[in-house]
Amino acid sequence: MISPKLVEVGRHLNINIITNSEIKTVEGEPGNFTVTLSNHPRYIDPVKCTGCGECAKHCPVTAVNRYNKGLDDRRATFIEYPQAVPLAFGIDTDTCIGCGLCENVCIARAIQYDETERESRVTVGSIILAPGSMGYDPSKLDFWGYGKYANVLTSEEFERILSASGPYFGHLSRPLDREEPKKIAWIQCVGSRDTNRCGNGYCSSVCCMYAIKEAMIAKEHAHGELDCAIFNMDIRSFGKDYEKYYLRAKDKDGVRFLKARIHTITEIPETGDLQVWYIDETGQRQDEIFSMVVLSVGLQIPENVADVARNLGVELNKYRFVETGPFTPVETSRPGIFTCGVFQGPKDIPSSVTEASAAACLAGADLAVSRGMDTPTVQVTEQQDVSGESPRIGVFVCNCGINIGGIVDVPAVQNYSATLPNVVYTDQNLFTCSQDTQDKIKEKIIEHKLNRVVVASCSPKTHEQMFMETLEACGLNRYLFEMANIRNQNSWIHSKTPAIATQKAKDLVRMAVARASTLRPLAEKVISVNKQALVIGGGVAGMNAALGLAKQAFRVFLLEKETELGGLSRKLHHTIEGGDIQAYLKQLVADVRKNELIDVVTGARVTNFSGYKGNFKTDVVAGPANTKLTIEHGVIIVATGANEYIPTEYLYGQDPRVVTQLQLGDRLEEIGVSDLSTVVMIQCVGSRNSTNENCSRICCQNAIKNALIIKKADPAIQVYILYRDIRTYGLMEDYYTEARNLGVIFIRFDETNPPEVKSTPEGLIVSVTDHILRMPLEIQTELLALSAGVTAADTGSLCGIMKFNRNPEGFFIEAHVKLRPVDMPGDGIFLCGTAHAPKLISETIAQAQAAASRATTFLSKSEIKLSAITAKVDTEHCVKCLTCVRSCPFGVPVFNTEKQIIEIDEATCHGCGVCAAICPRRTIQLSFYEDDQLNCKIDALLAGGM
Amino acid sequence: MRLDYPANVKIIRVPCTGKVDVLHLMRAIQRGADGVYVVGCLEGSCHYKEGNLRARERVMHVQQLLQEIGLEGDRVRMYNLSSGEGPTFAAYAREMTEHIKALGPNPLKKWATA
Amino acid sequence: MAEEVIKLGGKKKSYFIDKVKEILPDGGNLNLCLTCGACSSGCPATGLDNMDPRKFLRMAALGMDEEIIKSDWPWMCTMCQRCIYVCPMKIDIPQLVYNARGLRPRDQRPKGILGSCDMALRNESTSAMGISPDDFVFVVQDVLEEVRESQPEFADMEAPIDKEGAEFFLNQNSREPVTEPNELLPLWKILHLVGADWTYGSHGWAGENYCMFLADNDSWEKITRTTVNQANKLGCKIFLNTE
Repeated sequence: MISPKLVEVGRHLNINIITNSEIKTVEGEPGNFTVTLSNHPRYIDPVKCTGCGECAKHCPVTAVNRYNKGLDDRRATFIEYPQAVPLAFGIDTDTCIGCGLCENVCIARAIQYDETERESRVTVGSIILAPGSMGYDPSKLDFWGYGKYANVLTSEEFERILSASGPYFGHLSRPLDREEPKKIAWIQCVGSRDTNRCGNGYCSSVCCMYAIKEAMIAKEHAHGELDCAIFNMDIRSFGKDYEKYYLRAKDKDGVRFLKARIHTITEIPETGDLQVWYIDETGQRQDEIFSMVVLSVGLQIPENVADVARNLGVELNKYRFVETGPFTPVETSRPGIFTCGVFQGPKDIPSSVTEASAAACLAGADLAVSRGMDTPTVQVTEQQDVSGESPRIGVFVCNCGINIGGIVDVPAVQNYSATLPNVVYTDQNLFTCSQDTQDKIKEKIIEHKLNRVVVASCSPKTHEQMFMETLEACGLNRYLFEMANIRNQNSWIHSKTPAIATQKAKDLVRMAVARASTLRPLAEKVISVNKQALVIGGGVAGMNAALGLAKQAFRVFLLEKETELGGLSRKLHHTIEGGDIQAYLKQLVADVRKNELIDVVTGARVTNFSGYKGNFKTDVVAGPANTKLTIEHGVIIVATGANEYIPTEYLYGQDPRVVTQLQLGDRLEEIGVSDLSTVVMIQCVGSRNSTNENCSRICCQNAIKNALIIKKADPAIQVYILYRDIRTYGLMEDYYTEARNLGVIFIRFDETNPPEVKSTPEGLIVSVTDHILRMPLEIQTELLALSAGVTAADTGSLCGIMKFNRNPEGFFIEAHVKLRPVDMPGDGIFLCGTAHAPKLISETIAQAQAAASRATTFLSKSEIKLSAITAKVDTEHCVKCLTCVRSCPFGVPVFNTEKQIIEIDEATCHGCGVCAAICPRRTIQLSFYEDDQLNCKIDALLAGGM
Repeated sequence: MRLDYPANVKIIRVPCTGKVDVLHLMRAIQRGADGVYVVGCLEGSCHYKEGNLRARERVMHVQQLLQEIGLEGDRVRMYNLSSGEGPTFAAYAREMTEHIKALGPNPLKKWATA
Repeated sequence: MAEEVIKLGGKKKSYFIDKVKEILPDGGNLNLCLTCGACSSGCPATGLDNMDPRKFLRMAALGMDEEIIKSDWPWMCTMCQRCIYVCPMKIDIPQLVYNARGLRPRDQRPKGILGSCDMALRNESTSAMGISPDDFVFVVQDVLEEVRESQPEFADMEAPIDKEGAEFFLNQNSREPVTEPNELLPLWKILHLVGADWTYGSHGWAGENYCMFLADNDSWEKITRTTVNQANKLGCKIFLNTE
């Protein structure tokens, strides 16, 4: 999943990757920092290294493979994993014996044993700290026997075991005897929520979900029945749709969830199995034998990482996470230095990715004035017209050092290619991807008037773009290029049968040449980008998104359906950390109102919408006079917010003593606590039930926040919180601990046995069974607060007009849950705040900044190039059967009723080819993958006989 | 990952298995391929939502067509895996090759014209 | 018990648990229970009297003081501290249990422990088995003489009592001198072979302290003071507690 991101970062013109380096000092001011780095020696020049791996193949030294958590080994010359960026090896000098073999075999001459520690300086405007975290080392917890019993593993080790690229190639097996386990137990909160043994009082936020995932994957990988048991204190599936995943694991896939912590693990010496004792739901002690136990280790910031931050003058909290404020989630104590990811606090991938964009937003805002000044751009060469010319193909066969040449008879392949139709020039290169070969290719294109190029080398995934750029640089259309992968798909996998490999290389080249003859130049449509943004929703999310864009110097139209800005936050008083929301809101509204680049449109309603990325047009009716307004804009940010669920449960609306947490918040602010003696709270009202399966994420902390206010005002007031799982993830766990410390009593109930509420003149009587004593409790109280969940705002008519996708709960759907959590599926449309899913105010602010950042990547360009790989309709032969209209997964083909034709907009087409394949009249073709361009490959392949 | 798999497997790249047409599969068999298989993303994780599901339907359709003309439908298959599963890819390549070897050569081969 | 309903409501009163919290550092973390049950899964007394450490703490947290006083379970706890060792919140359940023992009137506490404590209070030996200093001196001398004769390699071994200025002050469970005198020997031999300069005290030699188990703090202190005073009087530097 991460590979495309790695490739993108590696290829990005404006990202300079400096690996193997550490920050020593940072001097200067925001906008102008000088960063001094120590660059550790790698002993292999990453520029010269082609990643061929010959060095590692010949290295005689065996070293522990830290990437696979020590479960297997690697060489002293190594690369951490095959997708690493930069794709360059290094030498681990702790184990290297200095034999010199790698230098002998390296054809690229990249080995440099005499490399030393260097110091370098870079000048930057902003800094983002994203050093990540380490898994907790459970060796200290002697009662679980990690390090003593072979089959007690950390979750990180188990993750590698499940991985196809891991030590056991994805075969589910246990370290002791490589047998497939029959029963696996997970122990949660190892190195988290533990102030006794490790001092990490926080929740690591991710372990519940990864444990469930590991259990599900383990079950998939297992050949027979596999019993998976997750021992937990609370299951914290608080993220978007996470609860559904948990329910699937529990109810459909039979993963067992046990609310228990194991005291001690004992190994049975004869079998290596592990015996555990625990207390079950009924209070009985049980013992069980597992084949393996996985310790779900938490996230923690290593001391050396913390030291780097401290040296920069960045304040950290007691757990070594960066100190940030509830309203400034990615800002560190030092101006101009920002943070994101787990260093900011424990979090999952979607939140990390979101925060990363937020940090990029703020980092970019400081630099907005100098945008484009220090960034390289590509010179575009004018394209020559080759239409009408008969194909003149040049074939370049790569040796890839000895990766190809050592197996495949490259001269034979080159000679063979010269015999193929339309081939007018052939060559072979040591490394076709090297810079000097690019220059040579350009020379030959011009010299031999080549109008098609075939490179027989490695994977188009990593190298196609680069070769296409080479073509472009000498005026040849980039789509007149084809690759034959004779390394990854040939020499690497048939290394033991060189003759067969050579024959297959010839086949692959023949196929590529056949296809090259059919290629046509394609034009990438260039569209202009309107530099204005539309933000829908004027709450905390929308206002932050608008300000983020305005700081990047873009004009913003901020639509709010109410007459006032603020949204749901107008009803909130304080964050759990004590941040004053109303003061913040007042300032935020003032900032938005006085910003000249932001046009606030209140009382607004969208009435019509058209266009595509970079060029949208939205009609709005606004204000008391229903003023009509047409806004042209390049991007959209959706921030329509959410509401508190209105309960129908527990006598809400029937007895005034039953309130919601928001109402309780108001009451504590307005009346205080002097008339109270007992307060009961019930969690998960309107969440985690059959109508709304999801967890509303914020209610646990909300209840605890109010409980703390009550307890701090008068410790004698009894507060009882009736819950199912307490989900104070991340650093909020400290508030849960504080609440217990102040005497708040937490009583867990089961969904199937919820509390009952009776109304009597003396007070409300709440009945519930105590989960420890298994005895009925009756609590008499004068106030019952329901932790009502979060419901999506009513966006039905908006979605009808703007065609946005929502999930069954009414929240908007992001383009990719993990990698693109603030993008909507449509290009140029972004999402933030509770319109996406329930979230805290600090998370909302981060996502709003992230949306502004994502929108900026769009708006900062004056024009965008569209992919040329799109579907085209031959309208003359089309019978308008509408099959394409029905089949397109993105709703792109439309029937133009005026012109009476099917139209496929190349700006919105994703290029998947579903329509082309399904068109019964074959009147749709997908450019670059047209029928003849595929058929010729089939024909060429089979022409060789199989 | 340099995992060994039989050299008789040759790959034709498409943007999405949803682009793979019944005609492409039939053409390969007609031209004498002993077997053809389509490798798509795992079901439920198609980058283009449901291209792989369409591909599966088409593969099943081709299987029927082949059976109707007296060939083994099973010469055409559909496999699913994720991009991180190199070993699974190699395993499928071996499985398909073994399977086709068991079926023997494509009887159409003698009439096949390039 | 399952039929009863626990009624809660009204402002918080001061319960037993609050009193224990006051006397413990950090309140013994007694409020912090996450109800994970790790304590109970490893407790040797779990299941006895239908009780376990987590239930016991929960009863205290809910203010069920009467039930706590009535429960015999605190007397079944071995004070092994396995619970606090693994507790993620480091809750001092042993101290809660200990103080729960003290809730019961002294004369209603378990007879065996009560009798042993009372016996120890009655003599200067602090022996729960009631042997007097003179009897102890006699047994020690007797055993020593016998071993010196029968085992020539230990002919010069000493078992001093009230030796002033000895480096180590050693105490001794009453069980050995009373029922298994020969079991005194292994330790003596070790001390002899390493050349330790040690002594028993004629007063306060008995190491067991049932008054501690009885949760009779004053008597516990009295017993302890007797033995410590003897060690101090003799000018010993190190107290070797064998219990």
